[in-house]
Amino acid sequence: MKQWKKFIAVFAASIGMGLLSATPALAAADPKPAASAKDIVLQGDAQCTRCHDEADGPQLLAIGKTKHGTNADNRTPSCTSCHGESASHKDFKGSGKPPKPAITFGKTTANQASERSGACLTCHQKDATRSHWAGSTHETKDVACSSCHTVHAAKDKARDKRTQTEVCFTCHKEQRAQVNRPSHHPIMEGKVACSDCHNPHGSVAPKLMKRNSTNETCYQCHMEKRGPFVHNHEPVGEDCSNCHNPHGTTAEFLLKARVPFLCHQCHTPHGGFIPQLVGSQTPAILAGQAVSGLGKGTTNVTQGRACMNCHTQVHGSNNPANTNPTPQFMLR
Amino acid sequence: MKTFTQQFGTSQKIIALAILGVFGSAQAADDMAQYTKPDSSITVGATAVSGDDKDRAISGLYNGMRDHNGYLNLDVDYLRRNDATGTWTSVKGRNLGLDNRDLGVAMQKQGDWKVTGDYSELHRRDMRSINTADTGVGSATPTIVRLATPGTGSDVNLELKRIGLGLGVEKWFSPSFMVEASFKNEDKDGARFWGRGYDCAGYVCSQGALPATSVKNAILMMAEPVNFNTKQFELKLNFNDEKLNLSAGYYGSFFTNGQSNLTATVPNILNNGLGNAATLYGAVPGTVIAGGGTSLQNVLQLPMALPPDNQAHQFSIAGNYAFTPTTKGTFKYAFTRATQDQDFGAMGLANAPAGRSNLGGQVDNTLFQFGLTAKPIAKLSLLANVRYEKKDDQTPDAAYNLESRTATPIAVPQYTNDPQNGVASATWDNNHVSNTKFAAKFEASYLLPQNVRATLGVDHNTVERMVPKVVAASANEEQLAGLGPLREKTEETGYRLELRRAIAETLTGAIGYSQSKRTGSDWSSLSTLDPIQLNAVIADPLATAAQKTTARANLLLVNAYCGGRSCYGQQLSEGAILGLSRTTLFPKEMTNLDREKWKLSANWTPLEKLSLQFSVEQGKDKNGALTDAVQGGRGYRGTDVAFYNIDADYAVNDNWKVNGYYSYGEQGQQINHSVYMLDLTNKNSAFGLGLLGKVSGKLELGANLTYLNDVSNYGLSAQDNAVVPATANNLAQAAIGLPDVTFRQTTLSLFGKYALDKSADIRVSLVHQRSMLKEWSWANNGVPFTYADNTTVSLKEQQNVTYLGAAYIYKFQ
Repeated sequence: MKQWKKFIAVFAASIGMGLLSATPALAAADPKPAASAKDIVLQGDAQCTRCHDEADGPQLLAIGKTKHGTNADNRTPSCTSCHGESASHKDFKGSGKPPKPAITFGKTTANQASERSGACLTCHQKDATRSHWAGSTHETKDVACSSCHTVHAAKDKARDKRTQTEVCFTCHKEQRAQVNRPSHHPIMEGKVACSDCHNPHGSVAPKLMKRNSTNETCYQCHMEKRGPFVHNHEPVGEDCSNCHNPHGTTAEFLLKARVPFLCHQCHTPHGGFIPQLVGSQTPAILAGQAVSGLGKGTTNVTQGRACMNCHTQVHGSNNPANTNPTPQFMLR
Repeated sequence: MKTFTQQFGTSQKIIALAILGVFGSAQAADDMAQYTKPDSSITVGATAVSGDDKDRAISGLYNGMRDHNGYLNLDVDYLRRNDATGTWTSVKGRNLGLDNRDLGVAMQKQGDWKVTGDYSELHRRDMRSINTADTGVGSATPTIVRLATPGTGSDVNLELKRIGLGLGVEKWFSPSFMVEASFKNEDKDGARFWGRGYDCAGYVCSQGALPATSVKNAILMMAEPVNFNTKQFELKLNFNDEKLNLSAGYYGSFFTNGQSNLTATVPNILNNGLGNAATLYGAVPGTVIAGGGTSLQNVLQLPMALPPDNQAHQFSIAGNYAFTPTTKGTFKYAFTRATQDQDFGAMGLANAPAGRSNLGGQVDNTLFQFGLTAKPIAKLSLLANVRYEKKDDQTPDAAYNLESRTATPIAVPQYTNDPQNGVASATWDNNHVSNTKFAAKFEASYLLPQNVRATLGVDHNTVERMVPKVVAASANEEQLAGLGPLREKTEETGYRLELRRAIAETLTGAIGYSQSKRTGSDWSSLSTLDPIQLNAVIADPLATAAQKTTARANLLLVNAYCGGRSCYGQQLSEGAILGLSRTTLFPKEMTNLDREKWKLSANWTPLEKLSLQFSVEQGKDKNGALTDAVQGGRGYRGTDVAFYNIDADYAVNDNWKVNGYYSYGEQGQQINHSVYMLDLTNKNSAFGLGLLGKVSGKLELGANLTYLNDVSNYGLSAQDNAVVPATANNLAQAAIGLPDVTFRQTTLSLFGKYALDKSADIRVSLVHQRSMLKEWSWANNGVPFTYADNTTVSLKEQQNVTYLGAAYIYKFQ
């Protein structure tokens, strides 16, 4: 509680200071030197673009098409903001291959991931969505910002729903195979992106889930499952991923295994029967089946919606009725 | 190479300068703009689709192109920057001609303010068709009508439609303080697959005077009517300085359902076990249960609750603090209150406990997280993180279950509150469970020579949850059934080791190993063995000899393992739980587990033009709970996974690139039922090949081929042991087993893009997809699974579809 009060006090003071000094952000930013006449894209880029011009590397100039290329925003970088002053590279006079810039971001970089990300975080660590980058799974696995983001491109694949998966699947191969299974979120259709559920920049939830927990993330779109209900199904409230694999399954409803086999991992069965299908029952079993109905066993628990043929309210029921059969068993 | 390029660049610049002299500076500025100014485009085209909606059921699940044979394609990508002010305007429209369209509009002045608006639609068309005579399918009041012959009804295709509208605002008040707010409204309408079923319990409905062919149980297809609205509002105040980033926020989420219950009209004649029309069981008389039971027809006509309105308010404060340049802390505190208080009466749900017009549901969730990262020396990184989350369900208790007592003492209702034996009616409360989760991790990594980083991590997780404790005679605590015992606390501790080389010219990669063990507290027994009730049976002159023998045997168990008291809610060891019932099942999420996993990955660039990626994973989870020597362990027994992958990228030359991948995954699960053991194996192979190239400066071509083969094998065997030998019937049925479930999909995509001029392209694309889903949920060997009213469900097993599209792309800046 003391920690909480301390945060409140610090935050309130911070807001006060912020508002007192409230002036347009651009005016408050440090003024940058006036653009050189030889600059092509970024302020002060002439020292680089005298060689790396539209003929040498037109793709490099594409940074001008992006937010980084907005010169009216004095916070935007120059080449050296990210690549370092790189004197040995700039001043190279020899005939061979010049030394690399101080910081490079390609596959053959010699810079540690922390150095590469540091170049970005100098400015971007202020974003609240990146507050938990330090210590996050990606950070500790040497994933740098440039591992996913392309700065010198008009369109960054990581920031477009339709292309983001290409970036994530560079490492997450198993999910690439799963998203094409028949039960899936509309990921490959471009309607749901990995970042709709995950915050790759770090979060407090397991698996870099975007919100505070797996369930809270799922409730963004499936809020009807939140309840609370009169009759709750505890594993549902504990973690949706107890039963579902959101990346795609062959079993319906994104279930990790087909019902009844999923249910039988926790629940005692209704009776002694072997799962069986219409059209494939032994004559003896067929003959022995009650004329009044198949009851809770045989094909009724194996086919259709299996256990959920009767236990329809697996996410919880808000039915208060006390009439037999009571809704306790998620029947209605 | 590099030097040559630079010289070439210089020469090109000289040429460019010469041209400048001819065409002037305005032309030069235009030329440069193509490299440095934001691009915009409008794409207009049409797509023709082959086949009918059944051929497109799988591919048309979400793509908006299932119902018709022709579609308009319209995409807009407008991006404009005012260089003088740094103000951006963007309009992004995707699939505007389809019903899964997206439209986003944004304006922002960088570092000052931003306003966004977006609109989104998504239609989900269920893959399967329902053949039925039911009317009002998808409404809250459907009428069940028995079809005389399966397959002769009308086809119904269920569909869900989401329409979302979002608004966002950001404002920087100073370089260190900004406010952001967002609002999202989403309507979700339509219907989705559901069901209804009941098998008459002896105290609810019975054959009575009806013929033996009458119907004891019935399952019906129902479609859940969906008329949902969700609203989410978020406000964040963000402050930062050189050391501290702090964000305080509010997140409110509100769910409302336009429908409150589903009440079906069900006929009194449905299929019996032979598929013949027959009368449903009637209500048991008052001589069986006080007040009489309910007929099967009326059970199926009782209202089904639909999801109630609910809401949650969350307040949070989060951020990070740099103690030193190399020591940083992260933190978050969040408090969430979720409530649900929709009026039962207004929902059309009767018979709530006296004094309760709504659940009064309230769940408070408190989250606290703190993390620390440090680099005490340049090569050593340390990480510590703790996360604590408490879900406190403060929903008031009330007696939601008031079951009439049976008139015949032995034939008690399916579930009663045993300690209240002798009371006029059996009562117990609603079910709600609080839990606390704690997770801690510590990690140290050291940079070895050759840029190899060695990491050692330790993880610890605990979950504590409410479980039934010993029920006092006066308590109404809800009793649970259909489960083995429950566990109050589970603890999992694991370690992991990894060697990673992230920086190298040609070969990078990692190898990791992790192992963990989950254990926990004693188990809370859910056995309803109760000496009071057992003695009552023994003393009951109406009880049969067999009933008395069973009661005496159970009484011995109660004395041996439950201290002579009611077993329900007692905290017992695994051994005692198995002593009470050797076939007890320890639930998967609570049982002891031993986990182990290997992981290897490598990125290899043997040539400048060729790069390869390899990965291998293997893991195993094993149920570590005690098992009965004869019966073996029941329920979940274990999982094993393996995954192998190779990716390759090859640049043929500056204009042509090829890439490909192959992955193979295998997952096994072992589950033991009372009379069968399932060895489920899923094998998944995926293959992809892509080609992208430029034939000339104007013509670009591409091709992609993907193949997926997913096979689930259900290995069934009949349980056979000294206590309960497998029956001949079960052995015969297990020998028949269950067929494989196979999903196979091959997709070939071809495209060509031709530049008409600098500002216009023509793009032609062709996609041919062949899908095969062979499974047995709804039919087997050509025999359909029929509901009690002869409703059937189907999906075309082999689906081939071709999409042919052409589009004109206009580009501008």
